[in-house]
Amino acid sequence: MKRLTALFTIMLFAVLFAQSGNSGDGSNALNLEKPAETQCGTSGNFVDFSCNIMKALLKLGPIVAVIALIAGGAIYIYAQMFVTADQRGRYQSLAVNLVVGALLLAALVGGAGLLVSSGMKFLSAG
Amino acid sequence: MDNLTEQFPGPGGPLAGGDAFQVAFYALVSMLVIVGLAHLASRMLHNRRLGDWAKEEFLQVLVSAALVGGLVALMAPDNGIIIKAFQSLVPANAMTIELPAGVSIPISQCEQFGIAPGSIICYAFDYIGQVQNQILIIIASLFGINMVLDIISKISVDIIVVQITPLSGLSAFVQVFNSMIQTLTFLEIMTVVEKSLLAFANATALSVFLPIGIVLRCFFATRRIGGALIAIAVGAYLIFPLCIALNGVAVQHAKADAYEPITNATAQIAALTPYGSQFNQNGTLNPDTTRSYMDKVTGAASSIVGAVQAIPNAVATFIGTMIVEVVILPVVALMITMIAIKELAGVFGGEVNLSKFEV
Repeated sequence: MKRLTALFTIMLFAVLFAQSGNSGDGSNALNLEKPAETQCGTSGNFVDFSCNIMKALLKLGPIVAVIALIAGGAIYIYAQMFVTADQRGRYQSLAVNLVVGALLLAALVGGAGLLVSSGMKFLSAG
Repeated sequence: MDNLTEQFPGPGGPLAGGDAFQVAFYALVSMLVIVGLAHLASRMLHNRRLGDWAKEEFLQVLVSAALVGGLVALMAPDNGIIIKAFQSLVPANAMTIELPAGVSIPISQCEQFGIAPGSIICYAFDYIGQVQNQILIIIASLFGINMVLDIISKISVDIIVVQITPLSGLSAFVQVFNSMIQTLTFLEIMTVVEKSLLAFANATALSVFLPIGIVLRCFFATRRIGGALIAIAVGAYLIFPLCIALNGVAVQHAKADAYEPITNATAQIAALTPYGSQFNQNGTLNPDTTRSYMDKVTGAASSIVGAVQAIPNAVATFIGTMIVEVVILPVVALMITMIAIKELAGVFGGEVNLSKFEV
């Protein structure tokens, strides 16, 4: 399990660094409701760097969510078909956890911009 | 966010003004995705601590976002809550300081120093600028008076073996005015220091301290330092200038009295300056010119003494007021700012626990 966690972390950072510093026309146009459509600059300053990290995470999030959903479904089917009744509970709970986690992740990625922009209005006049 | 960037144009640089708030937005969105990933991982690995951390961080992201919005609403130079409250409490002409008749100076130097007109820093900057102008006017007047007094006090007459210096008593005034000019110069330096502090706060609070603070506050490990940087930004951009501007409203009526005796003395002494046109036309070594000058000096001696006698008291009162205004009150303002930063750092950098309603 520890090796899996380390592998997952390494993969996450690899994707992050591969994605950061990529595309964009330098305009830094910010879309509050759809931050994934933000166009990051390529000048390499801190603003562009953080923008690229955000975009990489926003690309990674849905991919991981879909993978988790599929994995959850596959594990559930596997548990139903190939696992004995006394072991099935563990697999089913893992599958449910994966599906719930994936749904939550998808909701957070999809609503991140809206959540942050709404949060910014908590203490302001509008 | 576009509104945020318009409200804080700021000076240039990679972290300038609105860009800084974009960075904060990116950090908050990134943190939300990381929270989602952590939550998924916690469910996969059955790690309860990771799940709790994800929930806690989700709440902190919302709090950070609310802080960003709240700070913008509070500190925006044009329509922020603080500037609106200040403008509604303080009359428009309350910060205008009385100057001698005929003296014309630019009222606002904010744009020249890159400070947004109408902001709290601009109010404070202009107030200190006007105080500096007052001090400079008094210094210039005293210089003029002192220069002529020094010459007059040293005029001597040789009668065979006896040398008489009839107006040597005026040298006492020269010495007093010298020390007053030194004190006024020190006060003028203090105003420059305060203006530099305000310009520094204007240049760095919103474009360096606040955005870096907000970004650092988004992450678990750097939350406290982030809160401290946000507190420094609020203290530098809001609390210190607000204290200075309110000082200007509170003590502005106690200054104009120094001008009258100085103006009277300047008017009388101006006619006695040896650098006037009669010396230029007739030559300094012309005996007739020198004699007529001596006649004017001796004739006006008693009125000069009378006019000059009123100056020390007026200038001493002016200096006393200025020491309070330029030295003591700004030090108090700095102390208030430091205390506010210390308190706010705890508030901005602390964990917010809504379940217990404690900050």
